[in-house]
Amino acid sequence: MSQRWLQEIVNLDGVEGVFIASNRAKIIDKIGLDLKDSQLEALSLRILRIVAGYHMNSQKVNEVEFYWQNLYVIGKVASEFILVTFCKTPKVLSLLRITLNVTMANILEDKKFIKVIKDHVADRIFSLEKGEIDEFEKKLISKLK
Amino acid sequence: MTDFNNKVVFNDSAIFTLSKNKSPSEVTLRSAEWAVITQIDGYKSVKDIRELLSFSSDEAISLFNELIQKELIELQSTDESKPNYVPAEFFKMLETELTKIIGPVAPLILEDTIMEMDTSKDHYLPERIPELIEMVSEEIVDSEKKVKFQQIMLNQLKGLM
Repeated sequence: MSQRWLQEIVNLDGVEGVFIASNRAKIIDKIGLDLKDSQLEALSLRILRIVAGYHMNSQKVNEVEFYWQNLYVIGKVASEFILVTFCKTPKVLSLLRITLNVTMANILEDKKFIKVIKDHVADRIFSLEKGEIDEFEKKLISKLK
Repeated sequence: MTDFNNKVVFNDSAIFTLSKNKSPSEVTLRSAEWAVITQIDGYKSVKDIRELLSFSSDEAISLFNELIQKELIELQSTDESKPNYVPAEFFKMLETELTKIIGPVAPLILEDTIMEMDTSKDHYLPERIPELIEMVSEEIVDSEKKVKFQQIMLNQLKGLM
């Protein structure tokens, strides 16, 4: 369903893999990754927590970028899901960012995909506010400007 | 590239640079030779210079040979090693698309961005186009229009890279 969109991202030089996760950190679709779903879910949860942290501080975040296990990770955030891409080198970043923007727009227009993703929809802010943010994260959030 | 008589062999697409060992002021030059010297910049090919100065192919080859003999110019590259620059048509298309979205200020923004990237339209490498598109996209406030612009550019890039 969303494979053709993900394939366009993986076709770029230096991209190792890409996946889509719901707001509950459940893996919806993935391509080109040699990682267990449990690892991807843990990573998704971390991205969701970062986004929620900013949101609680009244800051809107659309994209999160960081290094993880020698890979450069870009997490694009939509209201219903997150799109996470792994690449070997940030050399292709400009082309990758443009492709991700276009892919996100295409995915959001895909009615079939949106129907599926809506079954997984959860209010990430609500669930994290209900005690899923630990003390360490609260300290980090309090440092946000 | 040299032949057995130690003579430099070149064609219309060869690119020359000024010699670092000898200055044109050290020798007597004819006006036509001076004209060629002023055009040599390490980017223009023999053909570019020949067309700029309205010389025939034979005249240009003769003039370049004289300058080589006088050790004033050096062969930098032939066609095989000439970098593949982005064609001018691409920038026209980019400018047109950007103008449709942000209006008449688009050409200025494009020029400024290219200058900021420390390059020029004439010597723009294809691998730097995504960077340019990303930078000019920042000028588009409407996020829907921004994605639409990037989508058009991405389709154009597929044919270019």
